[in-house]
Parts: sequence; structure tokens; C-alpha cells
Amino acid sequence: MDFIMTTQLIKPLLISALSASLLACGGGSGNDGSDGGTSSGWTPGVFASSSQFKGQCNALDEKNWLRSWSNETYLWYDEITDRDPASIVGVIDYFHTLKTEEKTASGAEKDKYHYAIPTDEWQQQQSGAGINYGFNFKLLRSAPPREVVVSYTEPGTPASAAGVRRGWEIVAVNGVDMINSNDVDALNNALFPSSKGVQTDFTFKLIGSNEERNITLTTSDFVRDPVMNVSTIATNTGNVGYLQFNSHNDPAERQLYDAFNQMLGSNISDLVIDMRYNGGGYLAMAAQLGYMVAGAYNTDGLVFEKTIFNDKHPTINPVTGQEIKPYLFIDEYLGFEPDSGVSEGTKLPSLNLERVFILSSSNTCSASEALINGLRGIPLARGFEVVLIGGKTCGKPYGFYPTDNCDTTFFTIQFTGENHAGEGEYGEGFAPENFTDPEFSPVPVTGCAVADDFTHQLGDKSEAMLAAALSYRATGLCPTPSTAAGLKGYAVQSSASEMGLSIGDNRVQTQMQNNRVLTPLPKELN
Amino acid sequence: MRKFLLHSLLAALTLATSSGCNSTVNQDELRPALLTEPSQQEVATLVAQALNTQGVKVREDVFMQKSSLVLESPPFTDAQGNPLMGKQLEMPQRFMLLTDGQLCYLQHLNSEQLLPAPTLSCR
Repeated sequence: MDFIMTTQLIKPLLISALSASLLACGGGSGNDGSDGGTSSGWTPGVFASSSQFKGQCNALDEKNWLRSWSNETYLWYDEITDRDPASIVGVIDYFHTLKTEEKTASGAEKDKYHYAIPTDEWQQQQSGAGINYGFNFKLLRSAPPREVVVSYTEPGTPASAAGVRRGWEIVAVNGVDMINSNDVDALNNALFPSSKGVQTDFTFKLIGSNEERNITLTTSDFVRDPVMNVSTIATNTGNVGYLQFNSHNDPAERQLYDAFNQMLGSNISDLVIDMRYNGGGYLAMAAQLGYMVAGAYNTDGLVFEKTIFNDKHPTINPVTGQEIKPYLFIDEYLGFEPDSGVSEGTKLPSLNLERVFILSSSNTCSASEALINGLRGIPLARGFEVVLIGGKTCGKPYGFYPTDNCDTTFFTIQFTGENHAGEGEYGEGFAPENFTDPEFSPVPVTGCAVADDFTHQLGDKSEAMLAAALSYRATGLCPTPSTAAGLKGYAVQSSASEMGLSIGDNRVQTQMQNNRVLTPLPKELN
Repeated sequence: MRKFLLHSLLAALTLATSSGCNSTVNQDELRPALLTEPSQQEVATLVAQALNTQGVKVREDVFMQKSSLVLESPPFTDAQGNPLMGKQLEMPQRFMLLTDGQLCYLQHLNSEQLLPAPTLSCR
């Protein structure tokens, strides 16, 4: 599990805990969320328009709205078991039933992304990165004996100025033992701060030694750099470009534009894009990146991703009311940041490559997976290849439009995507073809399973994933994994958590915090 | 720049139509602006008004170093630590601070809406 220190963690299991607070919306009628045994007028399989119930903030109408809205827009609406809204007391509990109960090929939940959040929390849209210490970390083991490791620092922050490095292990915060302490609240409060100006004493253990270093850092809204470590690696068979791409966010457009222009001048014959910590963002930016990698010859006129809603909406987006148009590969600057210094419509640079190496992990998600899928959709005749090095990706081809009703914002899967070849079923992610884990059935991609290597800096050609990419490029062979975890692409194989002692991001609200520490660890932690 | 001028023209028309007053903004005089002093709360209020939403967070130094503001989805993540909104189809909400030399204006680029910002001081 990778945590950027700005994130707020939501888990489906937490939703029930919110019911009591979320039900108190609107009317002031003493509504306790119960239908009081009144008849709901429910007729199985018959759905009134959701607009009939929108904004009617009593429990029955809220549930009727959810039922109709789900029937109208949920991607797998025909897999929902239609239940009487009066048969389930809580609104959020009822929402929890409005999803498919189908399983994937490996037996996992088909829909892992079903959320409700108080609207006032969700509507706090913001500029900047949120609150952080200027470095990012991974919880390799969140329960004792915990292992929390710096994944990378943000340039220009006090953390980087103090020399905090990828691979340093956080062994204590404010004097509390990170590895074995039972004081979960103290650990969570230090790792996941909610406000600026929070001062924390970190004790780090340095890479490959028992030396420790104490550094005091203060939270701020440090800007996250989405593109880092742009470099050229000289090899006997030509120059290889490398860039670390962390987020499809608005500053990334200009930074990608500059990075590709820089590499254009470096006679690049291959490219490694390090997306192991890229959880996605704007789909259009992924379509731009696809063009900058593969160029006009490979992408001209091709669909990058076709957005697909449920079969009631084959042509019109049911949320925006606009015609559904496929995203083509995009060859021009869009201006995510209005005054970035590059004009909208400017032609993007392209390396016109025949293949790309992508470094991946379970935090390679959503728009990042769309890039992999979009490039894999290029017709075979054009000869483009995606080589995946690292771990299995997260498996989230889906998306949603957050929708408010009665002070709650709901997230239900509404769309998925397909590439030019009509491929889009990667709900268990993509994985290098030698990935071995019977618990998952990812889509195999040419490449090598390699664990995240915290003993080397990102962009260092000795770092295991990058080294494997360079080696595979030279020989066509994958490195022999030293551990079973390596063959799964895991940094550490997690052990079962000790209930109640797992740490995690708990900044959403108190009701969630209580559930958060009790939530079992995900099977895959990195 | 071509799009910026178009935005400005449309925004001026929008302002003239929506304000119902006799004066209009001369789009030729509008130019990107910076604030003369930090105005975090005032900007947040104006942005929330433009988006018809309950609340918006902006940085303390909003419009102090650059004339643009881009809002992103809140940084909620799922159980794996990945962004909830990892696949966004729409462009982010984008704003520009403009001035005609006398008054400040907040332009919402997505909607072409131009809001007078009398509580702000621009340069």
C-alpha cells in the first residue's frame, strides 16, 4: 500500500459506520433513518425515474433514489438484486446492496469500488497537494512488526533538503516505536497529519545499515511533482530514456511536454516510464502520453479509449447528457494549467517509438492502466509493443461521476473503457507474463515480474525494476527472482495483520477512524 | 493565447448579460493579474460561488505567484491507497485572475463565466 501523505483513505467497509451521521439530512422531522414499517410501494423490477426522488431527504425516498439511480447508471445494473427499500433500515446499508455480487475469475469481488462520503467532505475541492511532509512512503507491513519505508521525496522540500532518501525506514515517530508499538493513534496521527504546521520527530534507519538519523519535519501543502528524474541512460545498443511519472494531474502536462522535448534531443531508442506509484488522473493526459510515446504513425486515427456506459446508454453519457465520443490518441497540448507557458493546441513532441517499457506495481492504477491498454490496442500490423516490468497493476478500468443526494456523495461504477481492439476486461489488472500468484488472474503482458527495490533510488540503473528493463531489452530474458514475493512483484510478502494494530490513513472522520484500524490488511500491501 | 482571447470575449458577454448593469467589461483591457496581498478566504468564497458549491480549499498563496488556479478532486484514496478518482473524463475546474487596471475579475474557464471580484486587490 503506497501512501502519499496527502491522501485520505476510504474503504467500503467504513460506509456502514457513516450511516448515523449521514442520515441526518434536510427535513428536521426527527428522521432516524427507519422506514417505520410503512409500505414502500416497491414493485420488483419496476423503477420510477430517479428524478422523482432526488432531494427528497427522508430515508425511504433516499433509498428509492439510490435504487432508481443505480438502475439507470450502474454499469452492471442487471446484476443488482432488487430489494425492497423498506427491508433495509439504513440508507447507506441499502446503498451497499446496490452493486453486483458477481466474482472475478479468481474469486475476488467484481466491484471493489462502491463508496459514500459526506458531501461537505467531498466538496472541499482544492488546489495544491494537500498536507504532507514532503516525502512519500509505503506501508510494507502495517501491523507489527511494521515496516514503513520512504518511497521517494519531493524535490525542494525540507525533507529533501534534510537528505531524506528512498529506502530509509521510519522506525519511530515522536519517540513512539513504529515497528512494535500498540499506540496506533500516535502512529497514525504522525504519519497522516490533517493540518499544516504539525511538527513530527522522525527516526529513520538508513539503507543497509543500523545507523539511525533523527529529523524533525513540519507539514505544509508542498506541491507534488508528477514528473521526476528525466534522464538518458547510455547503452551499447543506444540511448534509453527514463522518467518517473507519478500522477496524471494538471502540472504533469507541462512537465511531460518538457521531458519529451528533452528526450527528443537525446537520440532515444527506447523509453522506460516508471509508473509504479502512478494511481491515475486525467484520461486525456494518458491519451497525450500515448501519442508522445508512439507517435503519429502508430496512433493516427486510432481510439485510445472508448468509454462504455451500461447498455441503456450506448450513445449518450447519462450523466452529462453529451454524446459519447471515444478518446483518440491526443497530439496537442490541452492546457490543464491555463498559464503553463505552452498554448492550447500546440503540437506535442513524440519519440515515435516501437515499444515502451512500463514499470508497475499495485499502485499503477486507472488512467495509468488505460495507457497500457490503449497502447496495447494499436493494431499488430503497426508492430508496437508494451513491456511490463514490476508487479501486477491494480485492476481498475472503471470510473464514476460522484453524485450528491441529501448531503451524501455516492460513487457507483458507471463506466469502463476499451481500447482500439475492443479490449478492456482487466479488472484484475495487468501483470508481466511470468507473474505467479494463484490468487489473481491478471491479463498477461510481455515482461518480467520484479519486486520494488528500496535499496536503490528511482532512476538508478541498478534499481531492480529498471535493471530488469535494461536487461530484458538487451537479452530478452527476465532476471531470476530471488524470492517467491519477487515473482509476484511484491516488495514484501505481508503476513496476516494483528487486528487492531494495523496503521493506516484515518483522516476522513472519527467514525471511519474506528473502522480503519480494525479493517484487515489488503492481501497485497505494496 | 487564441483561446484566451476567445474566453475573454465570451466572458465579457456573459458578464454584460448576467450582471444586468449598464457597464460592460472591455475584453481588450483584461489581462492576467496577481493579488497585492494574500486573500485565501476571499478567493475561496468567489470560487465556491462560481461552482455553486459549499466549500473550496485554496492555497494561502493563491494568485500571489501566478494568475491561474486549478482545482482537483479531493485526495481520497481507496483501500489500496490509490486515488478514488483515478480515471477522470472531464477537464479540471480552471480559473484565471484578471484585471482591467481598476477592478479584479475571476474567470471560470470551464464555463466562460466572469465574476467581478471587488473584495480582491490586483496588480
